[in-house]
Amino acid sequence: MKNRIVTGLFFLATGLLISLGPTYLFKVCETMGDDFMKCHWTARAEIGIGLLLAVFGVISIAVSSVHIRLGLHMGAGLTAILAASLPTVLIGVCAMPGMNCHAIAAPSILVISLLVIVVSILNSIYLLRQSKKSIQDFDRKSNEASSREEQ
Amino acid sequence: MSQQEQSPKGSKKKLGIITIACCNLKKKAVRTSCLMGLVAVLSFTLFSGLILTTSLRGGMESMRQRLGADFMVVPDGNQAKFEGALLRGEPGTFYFGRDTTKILSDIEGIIKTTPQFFITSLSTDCCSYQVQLIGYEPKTDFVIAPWISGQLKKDLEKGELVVGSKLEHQVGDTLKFFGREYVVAGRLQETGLGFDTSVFMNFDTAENVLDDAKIKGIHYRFNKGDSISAVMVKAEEGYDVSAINNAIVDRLREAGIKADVVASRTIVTTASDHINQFIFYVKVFSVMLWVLAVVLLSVVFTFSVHERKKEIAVLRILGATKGKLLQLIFGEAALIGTGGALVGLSLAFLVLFPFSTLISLTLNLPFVLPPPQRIAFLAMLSFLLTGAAGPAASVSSAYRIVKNEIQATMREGE
Repeated sequence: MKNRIVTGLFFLATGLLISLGPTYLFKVCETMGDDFMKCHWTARAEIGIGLLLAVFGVISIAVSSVHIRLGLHMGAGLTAILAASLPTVLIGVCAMPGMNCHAIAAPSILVISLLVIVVSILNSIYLLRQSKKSIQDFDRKSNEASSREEQ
Repeated sequence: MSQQEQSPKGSKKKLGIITIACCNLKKKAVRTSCLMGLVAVLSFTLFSGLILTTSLRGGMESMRQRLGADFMVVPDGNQAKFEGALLRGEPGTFYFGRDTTKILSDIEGIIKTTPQFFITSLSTDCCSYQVQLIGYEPKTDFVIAPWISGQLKKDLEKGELVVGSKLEHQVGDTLKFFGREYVVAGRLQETGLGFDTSVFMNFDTAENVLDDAKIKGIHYRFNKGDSISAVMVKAEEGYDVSAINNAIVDRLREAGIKADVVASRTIVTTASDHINQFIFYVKVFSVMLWVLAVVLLSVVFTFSVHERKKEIAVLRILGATKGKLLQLIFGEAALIGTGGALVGLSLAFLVLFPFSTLISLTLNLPFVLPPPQRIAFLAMLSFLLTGAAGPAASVSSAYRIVKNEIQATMREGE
């Protein structure tokens, strides 16, 4: 229960940060008239990816099944890889180091995504162990029940 | 102390010192987290301090080596603008007569002179930001060419560019200025100076850029073919700064040219003073924090061991030797130290390297990150120093507890 809420809220918060951060918090460069820079499109794409991550977080809080949460957390990790690759590989940001998007927005997205990746890996390992444990408990209980029936 | 613990699954797990230490730490989760947090702060500060000081020293060294010229002569009243362009790559344009180069080269004690021409690109041109374009003369140049990394085998030709290390464009890429595309022929090595964000070209290419700018309605205040922005001057070995400085000023005054003379030694000394001041504060802060952390950890360990006197006495009765008890206490302290140091280092890596550009911009000083092997060495050093803080803090409390007699300990408080 504790793990479910903590990790769910973590994915929700980081998802919202990735989604809204480049537009409102650690802003990318402002557009000049009709001229859109690369960082503008990165910020737009991050809105969708961040929201997806946030939705994973909400579902993770709502669902108690360990197996579904395991799948959600693996998905969150992969989504975070996508979020990190937008400003670095897939779209990029302005080339000038002094620009906001280069100095602040891209590193922020990268750090948040890395945190999500680490948390999702660690929690997936934890959930995997939990699921194995629950299967073993189930087997033990059914064995005990069948032996009682035999007696 | 080493026993076999029966796990719920039925497999047998060895109950060694580390396992017992882990169990003890897990049981006091809040205390363990707080202590680890303290060590993490220490580790973060120490590693960050080391990286910042090394980067600033690297920037300083790079600046000393790569300024190239001993004196830089710029139009009167433009020294600050020039230093902004040189140190931080802030775009600036200022011009004076090209004959300045000839006048300076005739001065005794000056062995080389080379002109440079500064243009500011449009912010919407190539990369949606303003770039400092620097025109230079490849034949006389001694400032730019030594730092062009490997690729450029010949002199820069018309239509070709060399870009600073922090611009992402690679050799073969094109860059557009005032509607015309130019090919990147080389990249400059990292300098920690404004050169890292500048674009270099020969005078013919610079004239092309200016012609295109004129077509676009942008007029720079210069005389075509007769203007330059700065003259870089190389003096003889062991030159007298003030003598050459005075000679330059006098000769230019005689020629009726108003100019500022910037001595690279002055720039280096000023930056060096700022850097040394910063490094001093970082060192003092790190030492104070290390002492504070060791004192705090000692206090906490003393209290913790004091309240576990009876538990330790029971372990002695059960057959644990004094050596094993010492190992247990040191093991717990080492686990806290190691865990905290790792957390602190990870956080420092997450903050320092992705945000290095922001840090360098905020400090406004020459900043060159050390090479990976140096970073690894500094990380190891920080890890050892902070990881050692835990065991170091637990020495006195550990010896005090094992020194006591079991009977006296058990009867305490009766």
